[in-house]
Amino acid sequence: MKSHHRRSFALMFSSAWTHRQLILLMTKRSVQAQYRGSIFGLVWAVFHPLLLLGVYTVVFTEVFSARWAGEGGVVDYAIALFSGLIVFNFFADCLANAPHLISSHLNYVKKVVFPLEILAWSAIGKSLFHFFASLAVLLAAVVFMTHRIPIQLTMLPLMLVPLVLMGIGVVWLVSSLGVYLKDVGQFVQIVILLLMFLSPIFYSLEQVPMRLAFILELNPLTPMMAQFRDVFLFGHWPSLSSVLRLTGMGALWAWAGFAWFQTTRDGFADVL
Amino acid sequence: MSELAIEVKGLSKSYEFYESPLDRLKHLLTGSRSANQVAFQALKNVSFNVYKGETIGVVGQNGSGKSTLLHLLVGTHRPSRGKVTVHGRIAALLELGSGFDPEFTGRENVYMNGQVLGLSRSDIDARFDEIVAFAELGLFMDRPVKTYSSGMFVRLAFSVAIHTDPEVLVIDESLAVGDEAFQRKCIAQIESFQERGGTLVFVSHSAATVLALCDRAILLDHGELLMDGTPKDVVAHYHKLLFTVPEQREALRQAILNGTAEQLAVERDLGTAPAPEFDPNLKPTSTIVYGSGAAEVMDPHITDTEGNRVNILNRGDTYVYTYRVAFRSAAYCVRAGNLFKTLSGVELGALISHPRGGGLSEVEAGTELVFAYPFRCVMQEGVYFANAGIVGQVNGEETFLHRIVDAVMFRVRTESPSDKRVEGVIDFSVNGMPVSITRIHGVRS
Repeated sequence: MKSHHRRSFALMFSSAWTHRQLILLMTKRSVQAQYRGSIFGLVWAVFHPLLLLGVYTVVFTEVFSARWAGEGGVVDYAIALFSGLIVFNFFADCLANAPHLISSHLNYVKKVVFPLEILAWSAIGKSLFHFFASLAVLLAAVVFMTHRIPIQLTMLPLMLVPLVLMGIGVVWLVSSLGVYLKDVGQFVQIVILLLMFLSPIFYSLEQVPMRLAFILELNPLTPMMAQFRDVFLFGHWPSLSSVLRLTGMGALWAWAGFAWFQTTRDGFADVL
Repeated sequence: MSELAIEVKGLSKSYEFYESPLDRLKHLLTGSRSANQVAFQALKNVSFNVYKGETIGVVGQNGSGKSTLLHLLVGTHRPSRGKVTVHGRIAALLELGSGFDPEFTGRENVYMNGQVLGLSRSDIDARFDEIVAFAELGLFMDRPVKTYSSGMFVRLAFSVAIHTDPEVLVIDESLAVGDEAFQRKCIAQIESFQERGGTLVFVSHSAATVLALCDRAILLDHGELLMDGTPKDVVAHYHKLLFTVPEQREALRQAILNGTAEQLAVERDLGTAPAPEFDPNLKPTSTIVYGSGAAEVMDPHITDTEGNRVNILNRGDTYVYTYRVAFRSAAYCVRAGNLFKTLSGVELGALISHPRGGGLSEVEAGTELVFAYPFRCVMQEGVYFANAGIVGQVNGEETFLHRIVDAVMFRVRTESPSDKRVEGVIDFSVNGMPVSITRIHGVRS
């Protein structure tokens, strides 16, 4: 393996720090680009998760008569579902945008000297924006429906770290693969669909038969969803050991993605 | 001038073509090459240095590796072998505005592009007004770049690039956009950059621009560095290479590489009052022929006053441009004319046998006429072209019976060093008369 780009663990973060202003600017622009020119503008960013929350809750509680872990009320189910859904949506967003991330910035690949690795950070930034919009809706719903302020949410920064690390690893890996393989775009659609049903979003882990549960336990999203549910549904503090474990795993995964990206980026200009 | 700005050592670049993107990925991961992978070597073992404050010209034909060299200097491509070291911030005015996002406003793009070019937010804040003032965009700064005209787009891109305070600037001819006023402004900026001690790398086909701008030049050919020397020598060899016949090209190339061609050129330059010459290699390749078929222009050529065929002309001397016309069918109101043009197609002037509305009232089929136009060679050093044409009345309308565009190609040279006072295309000087300077105010020192 030969590459002209360093793959060190530290570089993964130091490059993001060096270019933080640029990342921020690009994130802002891509969020603006999505809503620019529309009449309601940023209202859409909140309206969309609000609608999701409403529709999912009505369909699952009224049509399927679902209750979280078989107990509790409609409100509990709604909160449990949405806690999982925002984690899933963040990931799905990262995955869906990654395959075309590089090819949609062709000029940065071929025409100018550009720190390509930060494209992933700005993609994460955009997904985080939507995550926060959904989180705000969830928080409002929790406060409004349970008359309880989940103070455990002060741990949010710690809970976000593994989420972001997992996300960026995925973006580095998939965005690079997407350059070389056109099929990746199709493939991630299927992965997103599978991930939706193989994560404990609409049901709790306890409801899954033992022989299938291992699949969900392998899914790194499962413990992250559990953390958000702890905070919003049960009012528990997230387990620190779990957070640390996830952060460690996330860091390794992100590094793997970064190393892959740095190794393969030399070929981008040749195939685009 | 002793501090290095750019070091290029043993630089080679080959572009590899892969069967599929997957092949490329495999090569990256394993380092193995598949059997049917082809490589094109764009640069071969090129080495040269550029010193701080120097302006260096890169000349060469299309495909000689000029663009590749620029890409390697700027860092958008990576060398296959060898090394490029650039000391200081480098900015390229190559593909202006390629970092722009059309959906966003000029203001946003300035910040975006400025940061890509290595400025911080506060750097851009400090220069923002200057950038806007230079680009002359005014209120357009807050409109999306996609609504800009191409001139506005380039103005803004140039403005951002030049305001990044580069120490090394790389430019090519693509700069020749925008209106004349703005072009003049760009050149003024580049000149002030040179005066501030900036290092400039300039790529051009235009010999005149290289001669005017550069302290030194290098000649690239098929990816090899043939020559590194004064702009005058390099441009002279470049032209020689450009107009040589294919059979002799390889020999000339070797001669330039070994430095032996240089001596030949020098000897020729030093010869006192060289006689007008004929260079068989100086033949136009851009010739276009058309016409109604009623007549044919044949054998267009230039002779000196003694009747010797020449195509290397001395500035200031008198020559005769001659061609024969054979008439296939009868023609009416026949006039003949020529047109002298520069290499870039600027029309310098024409000689016509009869004024508009006049002409030979009737020419019978089978007639052959010779037209000879005496002219004085008032052009500057350089390469020029002449058209040859014959017109006549067809159904009451004047049309070309036959026309040869770029029928003749010739080079103008000057022999005496005092002629160097003259610049541009046309020689306005009166033989031997110096420029007179009269002091109307001020003290004689």
